[in-house]
Amino acid sequence: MRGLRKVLTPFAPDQSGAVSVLYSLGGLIVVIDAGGCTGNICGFDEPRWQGAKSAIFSAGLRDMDAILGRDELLVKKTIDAASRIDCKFIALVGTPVPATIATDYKALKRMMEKKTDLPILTIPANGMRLYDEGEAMAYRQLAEVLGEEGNENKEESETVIGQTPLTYGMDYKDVSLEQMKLLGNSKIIAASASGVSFAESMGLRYEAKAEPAMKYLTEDLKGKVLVCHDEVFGKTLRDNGVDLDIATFFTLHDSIAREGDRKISEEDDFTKMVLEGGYDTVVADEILRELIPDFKGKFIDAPCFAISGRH
Amino acid sequence: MLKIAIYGKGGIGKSTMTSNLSAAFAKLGKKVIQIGCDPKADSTINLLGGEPVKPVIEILKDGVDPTSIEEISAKGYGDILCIETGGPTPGLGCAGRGIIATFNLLDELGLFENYKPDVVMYDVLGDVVCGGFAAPIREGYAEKVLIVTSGEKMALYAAGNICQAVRNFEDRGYAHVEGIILNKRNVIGEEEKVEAFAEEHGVKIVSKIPRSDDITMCEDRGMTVVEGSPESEAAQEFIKLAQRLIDGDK
Repeated sequence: MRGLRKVLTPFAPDQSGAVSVLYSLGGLIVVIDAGGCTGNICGFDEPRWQGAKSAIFSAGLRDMDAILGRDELLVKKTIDAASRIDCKFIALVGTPVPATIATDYKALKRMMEKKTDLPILTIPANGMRLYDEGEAMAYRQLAEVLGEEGNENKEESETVIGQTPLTYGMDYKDVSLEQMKLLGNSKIIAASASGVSFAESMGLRYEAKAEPAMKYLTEDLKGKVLVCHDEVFGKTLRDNGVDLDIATFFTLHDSIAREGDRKISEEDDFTKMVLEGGYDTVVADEILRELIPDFKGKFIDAPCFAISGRH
Repeated sequence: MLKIAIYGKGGIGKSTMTSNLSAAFAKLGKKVIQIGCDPKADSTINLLGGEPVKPVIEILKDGVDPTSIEEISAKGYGDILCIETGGPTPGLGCAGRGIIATFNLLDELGLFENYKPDVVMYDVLGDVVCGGFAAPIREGYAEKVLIVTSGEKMALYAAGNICQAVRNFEDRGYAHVEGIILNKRNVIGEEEKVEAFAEEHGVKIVSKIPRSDDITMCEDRGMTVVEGSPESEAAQEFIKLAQRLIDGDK
């Protein structure tokens, strides 16, 4: 039955991806929700939550806020919070509630800009897309709102985009605000699907390469291999000589995909791909092993936090 | 208990029909509640001498948690209990959710159990645009739907959509279409057009309300024609309809 999952839990959604990108950048992050989404973002989708501080607030929407669309109240509360902490920007991150009541992010941004000089980022996540799309939206907002035209980094430098904990656990690499301001002359290393989405949508030159994938480049990768993880994770191994197909629950860009690669969405898609593909080795999060009890080849665990919450 | 929801195209006279029907029920000795389910909150104004009741959403917005029916209602002509859901500023928030919140509150306050009305009238926004606006016809609320229309093309088009929407809900145990109230605008061939529509959609015309200056003059004085000009042809039509609905409910 399509859409029914017996093993996998729902993957990290777009609002979690957006917050993951912004987490360590020193901004005031306001998740426009009743509280549950913020709870999930911090409690389930953010491995840094126990160890590193970040100013993440829930808008704490209640029935009357949704019914009346009290934008002024949200603006007031946000500006008040921003005045009490030292923050470098304000980011408004959407969830299903504002998506349903058609919250106008541009209007919120304009209203807030009249009350503060802080840059305002708006990320209209809706909880119905997956985390990589939320990450790409957040990167794009950082570049568009903070980017300084004509003040490009004069030195050839590299900026790694998309190496967040949701894809790579504690092998993450944050961007800095300075990097996002001076992207103009930078070479983008797109470390995951969100990095590719970002670079392509901004028309930036990039190389798709995931450093965290390199540790899987061992002699265990024998025969025909299926990698079910992020597309760039798979591409990196392929570029290093591994004969593999990519399966991904997340975005599979035309620029990355080769014959045999597949974007999958159902548990059965993965099971079928493994059983019909004649693979000798499967590289995927351990939680997916339960979907292929009849697979006789080698299974290599490659955790993906967005899929299993493991790292 | 007779529970009726009035639907129809915006501006077709739903509030006028609803208020006059409520007044007619009251005149026949029935204990009536009228609930306006339009964010404009103007359904019951002509039962209240032109003085509007504060809408429920306005009360909740102020952080008040009402504990009695009296806090969210006003008594109007014939002791009719008047309630308005109200809603957000146009263009903001979610009006449908506002109706749901109001209905939840009415349930919590045990409106029907405690007040024990004979008749409950729901005056609903022009069209069933989302789940919130279908709330008045869900199980436990209205059991009969009356659709107000004239012979004008767009009014009949909206009436057709409402008929279809109500039919779509049949397997959910929602209300059924009881009939059409023809609110005459004196367009050419009006009665024939509405009769043809009724036949096509398998519904009956339950009342034909004449175009009447009496209605307009009474509304200018903040009252229904049943209150202000009870002997007029229009008022008598409302009273006859109310009696038929009572008889049909027995």
